[in-house]
Amino acid sequence: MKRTRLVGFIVFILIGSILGLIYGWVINPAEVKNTTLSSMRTDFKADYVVMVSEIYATDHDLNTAIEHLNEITTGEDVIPTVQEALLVGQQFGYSDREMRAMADLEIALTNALKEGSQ
Amino acid sequence: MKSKQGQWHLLTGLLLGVVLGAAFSLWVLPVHYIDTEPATLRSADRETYREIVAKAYLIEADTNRALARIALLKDPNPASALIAQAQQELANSGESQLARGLALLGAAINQPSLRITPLPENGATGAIPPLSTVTSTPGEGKVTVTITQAATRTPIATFTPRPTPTPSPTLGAPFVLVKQETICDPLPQISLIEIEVQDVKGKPLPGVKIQLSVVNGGSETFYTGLYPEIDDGYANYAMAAGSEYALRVGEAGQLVSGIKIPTCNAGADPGSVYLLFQQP
Repeated sequence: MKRTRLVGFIVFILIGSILGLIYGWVINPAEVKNTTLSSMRTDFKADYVVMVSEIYATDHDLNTAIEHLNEITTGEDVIPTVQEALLVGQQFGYSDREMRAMADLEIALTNALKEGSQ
Repeated sequence: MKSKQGQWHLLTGLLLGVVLGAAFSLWVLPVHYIDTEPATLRSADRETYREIVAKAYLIEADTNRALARIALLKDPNPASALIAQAQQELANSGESQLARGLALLGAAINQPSLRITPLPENGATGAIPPLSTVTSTPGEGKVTVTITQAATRTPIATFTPRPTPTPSPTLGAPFVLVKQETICDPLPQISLIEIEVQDVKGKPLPGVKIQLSVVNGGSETFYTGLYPEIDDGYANYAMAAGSEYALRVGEAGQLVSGIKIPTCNAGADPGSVYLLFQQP
């Protein structure tokens, strides 16, 4: 008898869990809010990189550029973020000026990385 | 004995299950958002995004593009958000250039025809190699940038700034005139109406709307904050000889009329007019 009650208890825990998930995922799914820059879609990130590149082209402040890029980078290395933006830029037909600015930034970051590792 | 125990254990199990499910989804395996839009960004990241857009706006001077970027945030009142961030930046003794960009962009929302002078790109050598190819190696996730030739950077077109910054809501009490002076020393080359706008604590306010009308003429609107090198709450207007002006600072500020080019040196030279407005 005790075994039957225990089984019923566990079964209802599972049913409750399923009901909770259905409520959270189907009936009242969570509104997407309070997201971070790093979770943005790739094309938005690429536009962000364009802006950072243009700022860098004006002030040549690599540290600030890295700070800005860190905002949209999930890992530690910001160079892949710029490289991905270059690919997106090529795919979406960014202007030569924008591509140049991103390439300049990518080169500066790579050079800084090389100098730092030496 | 059996009937006394009842079925409460089932209800307990159900509730326990709901709690476990919620805890699992909230803490053990929380939702990880990907491919989101700027409109869903949290407050701090929205400010960072505005900052980057404003800085890029000062460089590109592309008002439409900057406005399109700001529109992605879907702020209920983007102009207010930008002006507030500009004022916050100034209050925090942050970058005045950034504050200027934010204020200008806030102004551009209500005046999309606003044109600014782009900041020059600061090429280290003056010769920028153009990007020739961007290649990706499948499987390795590696991107290679190849530069094949050098070329001289094409100069960017410059736009002449117009003395017409922006609209933005003026918050707080109406502005009143607290000081009016004639400027003769030094003798101005152009007769100006020089206006400074401050809040109740005497802090300069950028982005404040100034409506000016010419007696028997037209009217113009301009904004404070376009001359941060002078003062964040500063604006000016060049007067024409023989004209009389009236102006109002903010939406419901005091109307100051009868403004004309003053005379200096016993009527020999034209001077300028200085007006200080403050919130009471």
